[in-house]
This record gives sequence, C-alpha cells and structure tokens, in this order.
Amino acid sequence: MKLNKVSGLFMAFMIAISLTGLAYAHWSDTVKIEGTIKMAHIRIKIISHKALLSKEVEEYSEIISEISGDGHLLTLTCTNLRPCWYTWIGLKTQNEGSLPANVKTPEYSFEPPDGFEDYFETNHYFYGPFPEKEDHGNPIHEVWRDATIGEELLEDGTPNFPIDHEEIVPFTVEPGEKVVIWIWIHCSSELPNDAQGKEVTLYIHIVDDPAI
Amino acid sequence: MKNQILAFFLCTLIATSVCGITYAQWNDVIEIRSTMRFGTLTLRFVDPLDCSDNDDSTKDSGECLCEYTNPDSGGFETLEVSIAKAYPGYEAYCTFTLENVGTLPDHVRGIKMIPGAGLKVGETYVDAGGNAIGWQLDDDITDETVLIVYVYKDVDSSLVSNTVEPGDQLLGKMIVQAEDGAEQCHTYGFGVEITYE
Repeated sequence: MKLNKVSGLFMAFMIAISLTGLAYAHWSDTVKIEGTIKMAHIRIKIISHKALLSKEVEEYSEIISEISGDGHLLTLTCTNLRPCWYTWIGLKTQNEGSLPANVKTPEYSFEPPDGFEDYFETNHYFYGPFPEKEDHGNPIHEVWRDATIGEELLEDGTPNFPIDHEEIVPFTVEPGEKVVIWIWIHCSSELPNDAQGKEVTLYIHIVDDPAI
Repeated sequence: MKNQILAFFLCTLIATSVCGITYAQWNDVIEIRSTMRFGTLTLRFVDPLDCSDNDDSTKDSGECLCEYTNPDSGGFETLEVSIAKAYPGYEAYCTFTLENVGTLPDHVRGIKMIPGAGLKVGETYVDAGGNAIGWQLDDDITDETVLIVYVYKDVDSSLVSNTVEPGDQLLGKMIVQAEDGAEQCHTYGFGVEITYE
C-alpha cells in the first residue's frame, strides 16, 4: 500500500514535470592549446684525425688509432713506450649539434698499467672555428696533407702545420663550424723501468658543452 | 396526404423567402508568429598574443613561436606554441587573450592536459580552489621529468571558475619549461583543453 502511494506520487510528479515542459540543458565547448617542443642536441664529433710519430720514434714504436662510431672518442694504441716518447695527434672536429658549443680541452683515460697517466703530459693547440664548407678558401682544406713533424717541429714543441687562427679555450663554435686540435702527447723521462716497452691504450674523449 | 405535405413544404419555403431569412457564417484565422533567437556561447582566442623566452637572443639556440590557428566566428579556436632547439633549463612564455565573442556569459568549467606520445602527467599543480594551473609531464618509461607546463590566469589563480561576459576578455599566461629528463633531438607534444559552458 505504501509502495503504491510512493510510486503514485512519483508518477504524478513525472507527469506534472512533463506537462509543465520543465527541462535542463546546457551548452559547452572547448578551445585548445597545442604545444610542440623540439629538443636541441649537443654533439661535437671527430670527423677525421691524424696521428704522427717522428722518424726517430717511429723506429721503435707504432701507433694505431681508431675513431668510435659516434665520433666522440679516439682510441690510440701505442706500443713499446720509452722515456721521451711523443706523438702529435690532429683532430678535426665539427659541431654537428643544433646549439652553439664550447670547445674544451679533451679528457683522457688510460688502460693499464695503473698510474701510467702520471708519466704523460699533453699540450693542446686549437685552431678555428672554420666554416663548414671545406673549399679552397677554407684554411682547413686538406689540412692533413702537409702535416709533418721532425725537422719542421719548432723549438717550443709547436708543430709547423699549415693552419693559423689559434684560439684559447673555451671558445664558441656555432652549429656546423669546425675546429682543428693538435695534441702533443709526451712520455716523461722518468718513466719507470717496469713500464718501459709496454703497450698502452689511450682514450681521448671529446667534451660536449653547450654554449648557452 | 402526400400532396398536403408537399404543399406545406412549399408554403414554408415561400414564406421564408418572402421574409428574407438567411443564414450566413464568416470565419477567419488569426496567427501567432514566434521567433526564438538562441544566444551563442563562443569563447575564442584573440589578439594580443605575446611570446618570449629566457634564451640569449644573440645565440642560435632556443626559439619560441606562438600563433592562433583555426579562425572561427570572431576569433581563433586554437593556440599553437612551437618551440625549437630547446634544452634543459629553457623556458618559453606566452601571454594569450580569450574573448567572449558570443552573446551569453561564458563560464570556464575545466582545464585538461593531454600529454603527447611518450609522456604522462606526473603531477598536477593547483590553486587555492583546487583548480589546475600546471602539470609536470614525465617520460612514461623512465619517469623522468621532461616538461613542466603552466596555463593560468595568474601565478596562483586558475583560468577555471572565471566567467567572461559577452565582449569581455580573459588574459591567460602559459609557461613551458624543458627539464633534465628531456632527450636530445626528441620532439615532444601536448595539448591543453579549456572547457567552458
């Protein structure tokens, strides 16, 4: 009986609402914001290199060099090291990123023997930045062709290489621009006896540093 | 008998025609014409629109471009923000204008972040009223924070719950921050939907 009353009231209410035409409706719409973010990339790569030994050193030692696939690392395997052993390593690097980058001194790591790095010293000479296009007007056009050491090595250890515009690090290189780095790697005269004649693997890492 | 009936009928006809009794009826129609004009509920992006960033303008790095697209009834339906050469720490700022170009008051009911591919909403920032003002977008695999996006009326006040009367404008601000979790050479996208009623 109670249920009938309730349902009767509900029915009456519904009929009343439908008769009076009461309705609820609303409009809604949207506006949109769309965002796209393309991230830059930072990449200074070794695009070519040159490893030079003097005639004197070449008589007892050899050097094998290899650039990693990503162009970020040069591996040097140097045999039969002796005190005062030295080599000149030329790196042609390019800013292949989309941001300006700071050229910095490379980082070094060694493979055994332990503590070997203490007997190495390095000097760095930076040339550039040079334009991306290596036409005849570009100083780094065929830069390795005339690069030699020996009689042309100057008294202060600076090689006589056919480029100038030496720069002091860090300096900024725009995307696409190139820089040549000559590295003098020298083995100390105090190289211990147990390290002499050994083979060492030397890793030269290029440092990415955005100039922003 | 039949003749009597016929004679009576004829006499009646003659009598009524002589008296001039007639029957006539006029009729006509009256019309009720009603025109119902609905109001319009239309919120659109309009000028001014400003875009800037925290990048050193002398360098060829981060670039920000903002523009309105999808023109429609007195304004634009979409604001597109395109950022190029972004890097961690880069920030883009955009100030946009919403105008009620309709005839009914617009009430901003909600704001929703739609992360693009590879992203998910890590955290939602809200104002004192609990309405969204910003979102942290994380990499959906590494969980690292990639972007932080703010869309608000003021630093501590959401666009939500604002009512814009016809002809009035509502200024909004947007900040996009690139974070350390953003990958080099990658393109990220997101959408923000502002719902009004």
